[in-house]
Amino acid sequence: MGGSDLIADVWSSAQGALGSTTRVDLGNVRDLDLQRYAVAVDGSIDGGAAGLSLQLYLSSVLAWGSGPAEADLLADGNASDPFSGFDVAGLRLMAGGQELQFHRDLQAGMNVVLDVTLTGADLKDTKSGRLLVLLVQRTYSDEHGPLIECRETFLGREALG
Amino acid sequence: MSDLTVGTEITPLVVRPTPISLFRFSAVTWNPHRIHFDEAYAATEGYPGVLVQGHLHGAWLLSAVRRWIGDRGRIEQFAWQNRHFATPGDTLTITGQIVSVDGDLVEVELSETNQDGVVCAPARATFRVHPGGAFGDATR
Repeated sequence: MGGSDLIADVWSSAQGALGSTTRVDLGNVRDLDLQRYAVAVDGSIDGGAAGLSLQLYLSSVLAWGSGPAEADLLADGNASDPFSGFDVAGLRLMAGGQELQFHRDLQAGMNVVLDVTLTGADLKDTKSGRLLVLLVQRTYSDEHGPLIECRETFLGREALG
Repeated sequence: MSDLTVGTEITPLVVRPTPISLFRFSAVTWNPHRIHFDEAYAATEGYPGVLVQGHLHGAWLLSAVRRWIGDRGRIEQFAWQNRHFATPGDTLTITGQIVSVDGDLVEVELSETNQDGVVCAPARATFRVHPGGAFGDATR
């Protein structure tokens, strides 16, 4: 696989992965993790914000459980499989943004499962080179039903030479 | 709820990203991307410093609108886009205004702008006003 074809190959692979859903058991949401998330977010805010962003906690976390071993990370530090089911094979990924629907409030102690689906893959030519736009649908649920639905855009470029 | 009209502005929120905040956000979200904590690596991609995580932009935007709403309403939908990078040392100001009111559903358009006037992250939030909820700045 030549380096210049990498992004096209990942795009082609993504086409084949569209629509398949992977379920991940996230386990129990710990109060300590929510508190730490709030501290990290609030640290840069003038006057603080008292944990007002906690509804974004689940969709901000990139890896659950222990995550990949350090030796398995890509050169930029990212995991090769950031979506729980699809290998981006070394593209440089950046988060493009999210669209969220909050059905219920996230609370410590909830047992959460995550359903992840790759819903879109679009290869674009831009002024700064080819760009792979990936759309990922995530649904976070507990035993009572959906908590949060999230549509996230990731922007992939080929790794620097 | 007399101030819930189209054009009403939210109370601005000022954010000054720090390296510690970025590091701790990477840690708590288990985000190993070097561009957020490794300045030398960020330079190889042409950036002047480590970058604020996209999700952290979102968290600040959500904080801004929730601080303004207080306990008088609940956000049901929220969206943002990462348009321009930010680094520690920047001063980011989040502003916003009501763009539609439909019964008890209120839509707010938000913008996170840096000290040079560049929009780093636009956003939109829809919240439902609690019955009888008086409205204003929850922080005052």
